Amino acid sequence: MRPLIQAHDLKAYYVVRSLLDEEIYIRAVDGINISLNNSEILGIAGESGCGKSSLIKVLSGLIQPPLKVFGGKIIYNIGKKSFDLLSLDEETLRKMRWEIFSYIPQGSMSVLNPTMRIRNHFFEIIKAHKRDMEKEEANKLIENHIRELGLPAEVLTSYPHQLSGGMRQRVVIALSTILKPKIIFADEPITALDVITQRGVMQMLLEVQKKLHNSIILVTHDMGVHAEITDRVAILYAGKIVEVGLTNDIYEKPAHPYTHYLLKSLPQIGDETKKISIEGLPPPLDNPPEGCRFHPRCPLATRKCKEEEPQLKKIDRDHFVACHFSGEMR
Amino acid sequence: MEARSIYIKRFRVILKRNLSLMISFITLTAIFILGFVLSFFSPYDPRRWGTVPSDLPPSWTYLFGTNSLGQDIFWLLTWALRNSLILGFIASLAGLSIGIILGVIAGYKGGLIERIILFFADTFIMMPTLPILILVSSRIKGTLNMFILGLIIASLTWGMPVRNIRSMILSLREREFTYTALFSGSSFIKILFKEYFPHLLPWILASVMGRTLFAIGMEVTLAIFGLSTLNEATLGTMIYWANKYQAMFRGLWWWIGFPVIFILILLISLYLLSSGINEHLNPRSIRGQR
Amino acid sequence: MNTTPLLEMKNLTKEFKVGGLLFGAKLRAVENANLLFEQEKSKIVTLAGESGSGKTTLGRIILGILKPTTGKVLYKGRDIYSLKRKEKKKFMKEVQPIFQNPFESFNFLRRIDNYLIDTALNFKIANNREEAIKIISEALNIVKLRFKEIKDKYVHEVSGGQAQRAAIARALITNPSLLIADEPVSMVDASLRMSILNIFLELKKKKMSILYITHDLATAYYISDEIAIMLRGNIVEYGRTREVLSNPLHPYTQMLIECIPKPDPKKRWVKKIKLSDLEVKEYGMLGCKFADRCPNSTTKCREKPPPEMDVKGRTIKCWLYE
Repeated sequence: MRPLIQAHDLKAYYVVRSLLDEEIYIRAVDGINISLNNSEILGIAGESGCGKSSLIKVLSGLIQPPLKVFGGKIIYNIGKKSFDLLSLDEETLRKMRWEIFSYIPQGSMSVLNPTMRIRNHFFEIIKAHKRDMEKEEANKLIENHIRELGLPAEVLTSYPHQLSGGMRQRVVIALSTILKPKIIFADEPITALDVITQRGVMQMLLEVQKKLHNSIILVTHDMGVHAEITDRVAILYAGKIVEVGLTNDIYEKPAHPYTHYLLKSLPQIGDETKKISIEGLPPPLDNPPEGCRFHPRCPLATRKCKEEEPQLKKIDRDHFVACHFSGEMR
Repeated sequence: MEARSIYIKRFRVILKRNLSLMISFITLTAIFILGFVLSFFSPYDPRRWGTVPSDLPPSWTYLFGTNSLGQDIFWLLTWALRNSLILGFIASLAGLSIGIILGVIAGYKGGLIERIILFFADTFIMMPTLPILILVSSRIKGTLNMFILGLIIASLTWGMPVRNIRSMILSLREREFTYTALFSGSSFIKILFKEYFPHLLPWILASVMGRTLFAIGMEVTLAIFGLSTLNEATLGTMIYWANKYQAMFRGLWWWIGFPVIFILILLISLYLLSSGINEHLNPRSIRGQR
Repeated sequence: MNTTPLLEMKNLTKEFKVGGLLFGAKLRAVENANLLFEQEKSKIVTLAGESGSGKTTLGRIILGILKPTTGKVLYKGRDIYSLKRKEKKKFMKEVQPIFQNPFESFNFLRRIDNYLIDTALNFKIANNREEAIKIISEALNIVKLRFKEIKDKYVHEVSGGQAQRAAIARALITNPSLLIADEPVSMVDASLRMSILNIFLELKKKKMSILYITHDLATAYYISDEIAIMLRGNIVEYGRTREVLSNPLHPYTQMLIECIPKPDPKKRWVKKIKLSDLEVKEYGMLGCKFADRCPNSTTKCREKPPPEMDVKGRTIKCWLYE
């Protein structure tokens, strides 16, 4: 079965001017190959500054200056049609938003209009895509959708500021799924929410996926969240994918030294062991290290790592890792 | 001051990129030179009537021509610019100083003191400046000079800075770096000068420009109605006399033309510089470069 | 040994007025909070709670930045609002803050090293700039930062991790007895988080107490000795961390722990939970603030707020344990 999305050698940089007027390229997405299958939740993990937000923006067509694509293809396979997202014009993209795919950004308030009631938010989306739908029909659609997702009916008559942060985020999820898109891009949808609300929002995402049989790409730095709801997860470091595979495999047998340390440094209730963190910091994206980008911090680094950049190699049925010593961390 | 090097670096970049800022900077510098350098080299007191032959159009001997009173318009203009700039700065700086001090006290201390200060500030904000100026100057027309006029304008316009500075201080007071500075052992005065002043500076600079503009405009308005000291050299009085002698009807366009042009250049440059400073030295644009 | 507690918070309550002049209501951000730190007996106490629980407000009251509506903060037996300037300075020397956002902790128009030098000079730890730099370097050493990494740098010219470490170093210069750390690692990369928390553990060994304010119970488990769980302004459970988190008694604590996502795909959530609709509604409730969401709530819970009770060596506010 063809994957829903397949990105080939995707490169996207931010072009900025320094304080002293020089042009700098921040290589947030630097040669990424990634695919999204049908009916799956794919997690994209990594620390801040690794490029994961930029990656999801590019994959969903939200490419605005100073972000610019410098190479690669993003092939979408929807039903019988296949196309390269990067070759579409803005008008076609606009028609596809909310219907074929939708994007949930990090802050709910950037999607919600503070001067409009929630019901009208829904109307706006429906009007923009299904112009001939009657108001009655639209109302029924909205009310059913809200009920199915477990949201209280009062939400529709409220203004965004009357709702709590968690409720707003759930409303945004409802908005982004009203037209039953095949793909949902979620960028840190639960950061800045309480642990209990986080759980509720994640629960909702899972239900949405189950009901609509669609796929979700979930970006978050929280490794616990990935373990709870994703089917596959990709680990990003300095603009590159260093490991990708089934969630179970990644957590049980991490193959890349970075993944290994990422998981080992997580404190847990009941865990009495001393936690260590990796020395050093993630590299700046405008000037990444030569060879393997992780080599300055890797305990296994050799001269080969400094000179030659490792490519993603298959080490198991659905498990890929970009490391010259793949398999030695086990 | 610590932030100086950032300002200087950015200043050069901004000048290169923003055309209007560069032009206004150049024209204001030119006007400054005319008013505060050249004016001291005038060969005669340009205010005295009959020092030169009258009603001559601009020429190489008399750059801006002469008027019916026998005055050299070029040298008269340099003195007028000087007086207008002095007036502008006195009105602007005196009013601003009072406004800043009271605004800082109101913002930081709060409580009863804040309410008293705001009460008086609001009263003065509501006072209509021009009518009061007309009233006052029509009574003391004879003894009015640039200093006194400047002080009067300052005493009518100190209210607005109080409100602006107070609201800036209120928000700065809640920022976390205020607490860091407090727990670094810094006293209120230290915090005011080391932490807050660099934040307030852009507004202050822009305010100085804007208030100078306003004061000069006030003087011109008063003088055109004959309410300023008519024997002083100011931009407004030059226009007054030109009108009195019906310069336009008699074809002596240079008499009224040059003062008007210079007023326009001065006011527009001040405005452009002030809004340009406000926009570019906004701390957010420094940070946005990251 | 001195028996006067270093810092004691007694019955702290803070009310805010919400809404307009005529119809404004009172919001109790903190209600009857009690905490104690001894001199010479260092411990790390976590103040845990969700956003809106009042933990940051309580932290600010303890630092003396925010005045409580009722109740007192006693520094070595004396109300901090009765301290004169010199004594207040002694208080600030011994109790230092660390804030969540390192980019806000420093004025971006001032160089970072100046804050550290100011601290050293203002509290008379050093007499001139050269001495100050030596002392600062020692503090920076503890957080594994070199002076030249922050020398002449503005906060936007360094990384978040470096800035936060500099902020911690600044707090250590006066050799304080108590650090009030409000979410000190939540804006720091995972790479760095554990090394900073390990530093906190080292500091405790050197007789420094820390009030660790956070919503992250896993890190709380890792470093703290005692933990206070806050819900809508109330400390609903307080006790030794190991005990409270491994065997939570208050239903809210139980729900909190249950909701933490575990980094183990084999142990995924099974149950479904119900979420509260409006935060502000809970603040205004008469009885226990958790009554709406609690699986065990009764009418008594909704009507009367539970008092503090001692159960199994812990302090709990819950009618279940009457």
